[in-house]
This record gives sequence, structure tokens and C-alpha cells, in this order.
Amino acid sequence: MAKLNPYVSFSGNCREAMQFYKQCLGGELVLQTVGEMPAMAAKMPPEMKDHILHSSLTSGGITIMASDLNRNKPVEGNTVHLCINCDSDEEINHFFTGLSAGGTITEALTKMPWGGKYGSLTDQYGKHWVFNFQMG
Amino acid sequence: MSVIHSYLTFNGNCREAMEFYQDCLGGELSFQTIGESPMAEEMPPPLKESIVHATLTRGPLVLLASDMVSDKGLIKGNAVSLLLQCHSEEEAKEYYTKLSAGGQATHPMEKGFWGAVFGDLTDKYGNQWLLHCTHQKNIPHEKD
Repeated sequence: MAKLNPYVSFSGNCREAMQFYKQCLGGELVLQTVGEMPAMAAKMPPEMKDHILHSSLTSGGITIMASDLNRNKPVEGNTVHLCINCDSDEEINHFFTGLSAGGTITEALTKMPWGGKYGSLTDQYGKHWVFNFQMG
Repeated sequence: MSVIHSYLTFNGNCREAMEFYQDCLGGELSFQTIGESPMAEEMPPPLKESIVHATLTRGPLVLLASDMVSDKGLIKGNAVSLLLQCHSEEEAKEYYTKLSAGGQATHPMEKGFWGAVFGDLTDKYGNQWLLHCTHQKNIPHEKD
């Protein structure tokens, strides 16, 4: 059955951002550069060889994929958020604190009427995140 | 286990858009409106039908959305896309045709150098989709 994942675009700082996400979320990070694909590297300027063609961070049920290669220059909007449904109070606090470093907290973690602990932030790379932990 | 989903924001047309995505992808769709929520009394009547939270679920596929826009308003970007991982080329092509209706078929499905079938599109609500299928149609199935 089909699966849906957020795919995040960067302009040359994909490696740095994904390493930051790994620090925050844990998991296993795989990075593939343009230079590792000689057929592709041959068509691109030499300074692009360290750019990330494709990367994925997998931490349990969380998979984030990202790239430096874009058909159009990335424009940061705010209509698509990365939403993490957390498993525990410790985890939501840990993820939220980590990802907000150098970014902006838009809504601090708060207990909401739907019985969740909820918060949102924009990280240092301009990506928007929302977090929820549904409390028992 | 913690999970990640894409959460979309709309400006009053969340219901219409999510019904479109349900037509394209199948699955079960549920809505909570402002009128049904504890916020109902604080909001002006025209907003009663606005969607606080919508969920489309089909097996492992989950898409979340809302009409609740932050103070900054809606800013359309292109730096986060929705990657739809399909299990067959037929499935990918069918989704591609449906999702691109009324939108832009920016890069029709074709075989990528890494051996997968891949395409991208911008749907009629301005959201970007990547469709990907690694299934090799011609590989014979193993015998049971």
C-alpha cells in the first residue's frame, strides 16, 4: 500500500540540516552525494559534487527525506508542516527543545483541549514543525 | 513509536481539498469543524464550517490538514513536498493522473537513472507531490 512522507528541499546545506535532525531525533542517516553518481556529476558543475542528491533519516516510525537538488530554487512557505506524533512526554520535550535550537518557537508546548500536549516551531533552516503527544 | 506526517494548511478550502485527495488516494476522511470544537463560541459564525483538523488515512498513508492559519497568513513555498511511495507503476501512474487534474504535471512519470519510476506535479491547491515506485514490473514473482 502506498506511503506518504515529507520530502524536504535545501540549497547546499542539506547535509548540515540532516545531521542536525539526526542529533535531535536520533536514528540512522544515509547521505548520497552527486559525486557518488559519476553519470550525474559529469553533467553538473564541479562545485556541486558534494551536494546531496538524496538523503534519508530513519528513526523508528519517523522517516524524513531530503535533497539539495531542486528543479526550482527552494522558497520557504508555511503551508506544509512536518508533524511528529510523539510517544511520550519525555520524547516531545526532547524533540521540541532540540529542534528549536537556533530557530523560533511559534507555540510553546501546552496542554490542549483535545488531551494532547502540543507545540510548534520554525527551525533554524526555516522548516515548520508541529508536535503532539496524546496524553492517556 | 513516534511517527511523522505531513500537515497541510488551507485557507477555508480544507474540506474541498481533502475530499479531492480522498478521491485521488482513497481512504477514510474525518473532519472536525470549528462549530464542533470548544472554540465555537469564541469564533465568528462564518468560521463555524472551517476545519480545525482533518485526517485522511489509508493503511500506512496519513495526511493531516487544517484551515487554521497562523498570524503570518499563508505563504506558499516549494521547500517541502509530499513523497508518495507507490507499490506498482500502474498505481503511481493512476495517482499521478488524478492528483495533477487541474494542476500542473511538472514532470510526468518516467524511469529514473536509479531504476525507479518517478514523477512530480503541483496539484490544483499548490501542493507539490513526488511520486516514486521502485517496483520492477517485469521481474517474475517467486513461486509460492
